[in-house]
Parts: sequence; structure tokens; C-alpha cells
Amino acid sequence: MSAFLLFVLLGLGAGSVYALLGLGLVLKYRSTGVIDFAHGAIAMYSAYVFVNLRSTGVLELPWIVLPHAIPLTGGQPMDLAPALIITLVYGTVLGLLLFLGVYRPLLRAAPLTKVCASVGVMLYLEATAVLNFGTTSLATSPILPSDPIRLAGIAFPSDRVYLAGIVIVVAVVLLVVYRFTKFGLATRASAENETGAALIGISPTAIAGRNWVIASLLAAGSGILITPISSLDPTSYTLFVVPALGAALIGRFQSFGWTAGAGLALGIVQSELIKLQTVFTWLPQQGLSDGAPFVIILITMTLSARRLGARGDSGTWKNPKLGRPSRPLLTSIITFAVGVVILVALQGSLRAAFMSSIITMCICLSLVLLSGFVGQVSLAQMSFVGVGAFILSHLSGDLGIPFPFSLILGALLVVPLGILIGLPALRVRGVSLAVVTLAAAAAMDALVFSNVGFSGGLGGRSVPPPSIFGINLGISDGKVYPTITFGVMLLVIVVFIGYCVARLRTSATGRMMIAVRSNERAAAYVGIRVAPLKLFAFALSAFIAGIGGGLLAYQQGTVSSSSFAVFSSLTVLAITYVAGIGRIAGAVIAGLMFASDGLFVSFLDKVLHVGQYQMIVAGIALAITAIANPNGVASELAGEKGLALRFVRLRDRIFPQKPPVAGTLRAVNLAAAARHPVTPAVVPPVKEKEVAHG
Amino acid sequence: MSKRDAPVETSGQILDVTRMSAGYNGLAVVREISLTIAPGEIVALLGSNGAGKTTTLAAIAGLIKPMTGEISLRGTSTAGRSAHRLARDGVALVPEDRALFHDLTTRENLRVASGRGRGNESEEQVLEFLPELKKCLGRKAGMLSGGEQQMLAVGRALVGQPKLLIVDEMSLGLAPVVVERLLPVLQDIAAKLNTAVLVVEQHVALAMEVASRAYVLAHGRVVLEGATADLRSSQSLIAASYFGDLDAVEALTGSAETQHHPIEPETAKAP
Repeated sequence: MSAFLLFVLLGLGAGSVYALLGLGLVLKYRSTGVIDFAHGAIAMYSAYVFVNLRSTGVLELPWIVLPHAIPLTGGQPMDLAPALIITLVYGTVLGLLLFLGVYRPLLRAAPLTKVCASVGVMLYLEATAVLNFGTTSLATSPILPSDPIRLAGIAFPSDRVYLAGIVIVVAVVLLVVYRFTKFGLATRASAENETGAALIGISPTAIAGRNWVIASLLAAGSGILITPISSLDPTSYTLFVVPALGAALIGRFQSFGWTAGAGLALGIVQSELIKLQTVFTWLPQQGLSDGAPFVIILITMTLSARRLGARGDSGTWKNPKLGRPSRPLLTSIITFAVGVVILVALQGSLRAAFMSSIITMCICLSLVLLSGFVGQVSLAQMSFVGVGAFILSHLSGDLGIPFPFSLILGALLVVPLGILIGLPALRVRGVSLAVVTLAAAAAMDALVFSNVGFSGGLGGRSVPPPSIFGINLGISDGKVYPTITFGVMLLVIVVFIGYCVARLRTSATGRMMIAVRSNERAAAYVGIRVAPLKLFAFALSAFIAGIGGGLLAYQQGTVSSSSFAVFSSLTVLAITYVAGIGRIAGAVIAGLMFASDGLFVSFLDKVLHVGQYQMIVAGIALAITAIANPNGVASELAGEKGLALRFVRLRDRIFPQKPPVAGTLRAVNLAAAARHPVTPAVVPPVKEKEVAHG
Repeated sequence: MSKRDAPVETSGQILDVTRMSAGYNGLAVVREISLTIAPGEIVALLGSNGAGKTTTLAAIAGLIKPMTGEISLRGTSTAGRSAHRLARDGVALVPEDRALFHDLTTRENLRVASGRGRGNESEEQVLEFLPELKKCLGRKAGMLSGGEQQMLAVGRALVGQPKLLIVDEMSLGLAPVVVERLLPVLQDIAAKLNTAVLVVEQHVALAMEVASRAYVLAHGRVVLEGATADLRSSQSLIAASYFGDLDAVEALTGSAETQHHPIEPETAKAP
């Protein structure tokens, strides 16, 4: 019994950090509607600053190349108090600068735009930390007194108790401030109704800025406090944001008390599971303590879901702009032809990069369908991809199922998972769905991908190359790498999927999906069965993602779980969104321009030798693109005088459309429709087209 | 206190809108409208749906930027001032949807609006005007009835001691009894606090009762303006402008040039 108590107390350490980070996330969400995925990264960077000050007295600034290390003490370690103060100020200033530079311009943007910008910031900070500090873990001297305390026959380090005490004090202070002071009232008011707040003289921006500063201070503080407990490295610290998000989610991004309690509880559950694993050996031995809390979050959120506190004007879920594919079959054929030309024209690493781009397009298409058409956010998309890849490896390797069947069967086997992760979407929507699916991804990561039998452990699992009728379709044929045949196979599959998604968009089902996206209740009123439709979208999206996973497996030859880590889902959603999640072209642009191993980035690398700075560039590019193109690059291109319009004109000039005949009005453009009088019976399709253009 | 509070009385008007056009996405909804309000005066803005009343109010309150023209508050241009700045400078808009903070209690809604320095006395004052609010101080705004919510919205606007109170669609969704109770409150406010009040009201007869002057908008233009006493006598004019029948208005006023009621020729603007 006492051993269990010991693990409860030990769990308070991590739990306190989750709680503090979670409180910061609540502050940020309540004041700006931003779910800041970079929150953990700020804590991580502050922790590094603190550790460096304590060991060498060097102040580390958050950039590269430019001078970033300022010696303050001439190589001497700095005392605790000044280091603590400098770091707290540092974290606060960092948070304020990020607010002014990134989040303030996005205050009235759609929540997903904000998410993308924060993912950009997170990538930037993490990559900068890797370059400036390396990836080896650092340990540091304790800050809080940690002499063992004896209680009920067990000894445990006292700092855990102090940490939990700090959490409780912070939560109570926040509670009191936000309930009883005018600043707290103003924050609550402007969170609920921004226009209303402005009309009574409250500046929502100023309020948001102040909250952001407090949250950053908390992040820096929690970064410092955890250093003695958990060894410091860029990735794992950044990942603390995931359980913190879970805690904030249980607090519905509103309640300080629940968030703090949930954070502590998550830490305790994790710690206790480690103990339980030693007692009950039938429990899964890998990833249980990492994964179980997310399973708990998933289940509680699904069963007890209430909507996240709506965030006034700017927090309402703005849907990304939609495109409307015209002449999908012709466009697909042209795309395929252009793709083949590019494949032949490119060689070596650039051809391989183009193949990566095509595969990324496939994954992005699954998001265009799910998030673009139906408005359901999924941060677990790479989990689908990963499961698809591993299943394919099992099917074609162990069971020897031949090529096209193994790929299709593998993707079909991802569908139940898609439906499972889609179940919470029947109860939660918008931003909370994003966090719930993130929890699902984290659970998958910890429980499924860490399972050696399934994923082959660190070495991964090999995948035999595809072949059909004795023709080798693999990426390598012994002499050439990568082969054109493999690229053509990718093009055939992905262009076909793109064609299907385009046809879906204009079909009756597509219209129903868009109705659900716009207003679920209204969709239900006109007789659309919302729940099955959502699940269908999740299933289809999972299928496409599964195909993407299979293709990825064929391309890499060996699949390892590291490709499908939690944050890769975040990145793939971010690039699709920034590229234009409501359009097929968005997936194409995401694959070509934004995929980190795609054509454009590899080309940049070849020309400019971005090399090690790639992630930093990617992070900055993501944040800037999100601010500059809140509707997505593809939507900007589809605007007046945009590239897309020119493409359509060129296409229609080379392949002129048949003259309009009554009954084939669907393919007729508006101007033509206006010239030819139509009978009322065939008016609706034209009208629908008109709406889609707006 | 900022410099803007120093009286720079040029025209004796609280609000002076000159040939203002405003709209959304580059499309003008109201075109070249002019209107003025003096302290202590109640002015009604009338017109059918889509005439541009709410857009006019939004521009005055700083929620949207006018495309052309000038809005001045007590002699100083409001250009470049955001909505919250204008609110602090004395413009209080009660929007159509009331924009209450539903998760805050009635008392908190009032308190959050009383900026820094101003204490409980303005709250007390508001409760004198709207004694009905006293019994629901501790309840969340979202739990109030429609009438109580509208009272709270007006009360919240008053807490900041505005120089100009703008009320959009006061009677929307309210029972006639409640409207008849609320409109006199506006008269009370104008008389006792010398606040200028601009009301948009669908209920024309009621609006005419409380307001001393009125402007009638149609298709984004002022088609009729004048003292309510005079306007009341020409119901057919108002009816015509409500139906957007500008020809009829011109025929009735006998003036195709000014587009204005001849009662107040000095405020007539160039066509």
C-alpha cells in the first residue's frame, strides 16, 4: 500500500508541470481563442535558458546564426535568484513578442489558422533548441528543497509536495483574480463577446496581451520547475504540452480548478501505472503510462462532452473556403500527364522528393475531405497513415498478399480505426475535437506504435516492393533509384483518389457534407442524417490516409514508428490548412511546396543548402503563410487573376467545352448559362454553382 | 482625462455626421448621409429593413470604418479611433443583439463597463433609471428575460456615462408592454443626464412619440428628415419611404432636388 502512495507522491512532479502548463493554456484560450501548441516549447526554451545561466552564466537568445549566446558572468555559474528572475522575464518577453508578432495579427482569424501559426512557432523553437543546445539530455541541480520526507513509513523527495503546493497557490490566485477583479471581469467579458467588450470601452487586444504575458510567465516558471525532475531535451519538453492540453480540456479551457486538478491527476495516474505494471505483468509493458491518460481523456471527453465555452465573435468556428472542381476528369488527366513529365525530367534525389510530394498529397487529400468538406478537425491523421503502413507491411510481408490487394485491404483495415476516432466527433466539435483527436494520436503513439510486435520496434518493419503481373513497381529496380515506374504508380493511385474526392465534392453526398459543415442543426432539419455522414467521412478519410501510409511504406522500404509521432499529424494538418484545406489544389500545393521532404523544400536545400535549418525555415514559413493567407494559398490562387483561374482558362482553351445543351447544364459556366435561357427545372444546379463561387 | 474631453464645441452638436458613406467589402450600404444630434436630444433613425440603419450606427460607434465623409464627436473627428476608444470617449452603442456577457451576472455586466476610477455611484444611478434590474443583480445575464436583457443592455451602456447613447432596435423581440416601459426610460435619460440619444426603431409610432426629430433612410440615403411633430402629420410620406418608393416621396414633398422635407432647409445637403 505504501508503495502505491509513494508513486502517487512521485506523480505530483510531472502532474504539477501539466497543471501549470494547462493553466497557461486556459489563459491563452480564454483571452485569445488560441490553443497554443507552442506553449510547451516556450517552457522548454525557458528551461534551457535557466540551465545555461545556472551552469555557465550565458544568456541564450532564441535564434540561430546571429550571435545568440551572451556571457553575463564571465563563465561563472549564476546564483539561483538572479537566474530565476532573468529566466522568468525572458519567458515573459518571449511570450509577449510572439503575441505581438504572430498571434495579434491573427486575433480575428479562424481557430485553425491560429493553430497553424502556433505549430509554426513550436517547430521553430524546437528546431532552434536542437541546433543551439543539441539533443543530449541535461540534468540540473534542484531548485526546491528536496530532502526526503518520511510519511507513513515511506520516504519521498519533498520537492514534489512543494510543486503541488505551487500549483494550488497559482490556481487559487488565478481563480480569485478572474472572479473578483475588474481585469478578470474584462477578460471574461471580452472572451464571451468581443464586440460587446469593445462597445463598453474594453480593448480586446490589450486584454489578450496581458493574459498572454501571464501565461508565458507560467510557462517559463513550469519550465524551470521541472528541470530537476525530468532530464531536459528539446522534444520531450515540447511534448509536455500534450498532457497539459488534456488537463486544459478536462477543465473545458475555462476552469482553473479543474485544469489544475486534472493536471495533477494525470501525473499521478501515469506514475501509478508504472507501479501497476510491476504488479500486474499482463498489462502492456510499453507505453502504458504514456498512453493511458490519453485513453482516459478520450473516453471522458466522448462520454461527458459539453461544448468548449464558446469564444464570442472571433472564436466561432469559421470554415475554410471551399473550392468547386470544374471538369475533374480532364483536370485529372492533365495533372497525370504533367506529373509524368516532371517524373521523367527530374532525377535522383529531386525525383525522390517529387514522390514524397505525391504521397503527401494523398495524405492531405484525406484531410481535404474530412476537415475541408465536413469541417471535422483531425489531429490523428498520421496515426491512420502509420497504421496503414504497418498493416501493409504485415499483409504483404508475413501473409504474402499480392500488391493491389494488400494495399487496398490494408487501407480498409484502417477504416474501423477511423470510425473509432470519429466517434467523439459525434459529441464534440471544433477546437475540442482537435484536442480530443490529438489525445487519440498520443494514445496511439504510446500504445500501438510502441508495440514491438506491431511496429517492429526501433528498427521498424520492412515492406516488400510492389509488383503486378511480374512487373516490378518498386522504387528501386537494382540499378535505378528511384524508378519512373514507381512514380507512375504513385501518380495513378493519387490522381485517381484526387479525382474521386473532386467528384465527391460535387455529388449529392458532397453537398450534404458541406451542409453539415456549415450548420449541423440546419442540416438535420432538412433531413440529413448527421452522425452517419460524419462517420462515413472519417471512414473514407482514414481509408485515403491508409492508402497514403501504404505508399509511404513502399517508398521507404522500411517503416518505423518515428514517422508517425504525435506532432507529425499536427504538421500535416497545418500544411494542408495553410495550402488551402477546402480545395483539391490545396493538397497538391501542400505536397509540392510545404512537405518537409517534398519537391520545393528539397530544391531549396539543393540550391541554398538550408540543410540543418530546414525545420526552422519551415516553422517560420508556416507562421508567415498562416498570417498572410488566412484562407489558404490555394484560395488566394483561385481568386481573381489568380494562377488557378489562368490554368482553368488555358485548359478550356486547349480543350474547349461542348456547346451547352439543355440537361448538361452542370458543365456550363455561368456566363453561358446567362446567355442561354433555361427552364426552371434545370435552374438549381446553376444556382448551386453560383453559391460555390461566392 | 484625455484632451478629447475638453469641449471643442464648434456646432453645439454631440454628433455631426457629414456626407458619410459606409458599407462592407467595398460595397457602400449607406451613401453620403448627414445627421446631427445635440445634447439632451432624442433622434430617431427610421427606415425599412436593409435601409442602412444598423450600418450607420456601426460606423458611428467605430465598428466599421466609413468609406468617405466625416463623423465628428463633439467637434473632433472620430477617424482612426477604434470602437473601444470611442466607447471611452463617450459613445455607447446598444447593438441589436445586445452583446451582453451571458456568463457574467447582471452586476458583473454593469461593473465591467464602469471603466477605471468610476465607482459604484454610476451603477447606483443606472439602477435608479432601471429599478427593475435591482432584483436580478445576482443572476447571470443569460438567464434574464428578453425585457430584462434589454434593460441591462441599456443600463450597461449608461454605466460609462456616455455623451451619446445609441440604441439599435430596442423593441426587437419584446412585448409591447415592455417597449412602452423602456422608451420613456430613454426620455428620462436624455432629460436628466443631458445625454444625446439616437434610436433605431421599427415601431414608428412609438419612436415618433419619444424622439424630437427623425431621419428616414431608404436605400442607404436620407430621404426625409425633420421634427417628429411635422413628420407625424405626413404619414403617407413615411409609408412611401418605408416602401422605398422614392418617386412618391419626391412627389409628396414636391422637391426632387433636396430629397428632404422642406421643414428644415438649413440642414439640407447638396444632392
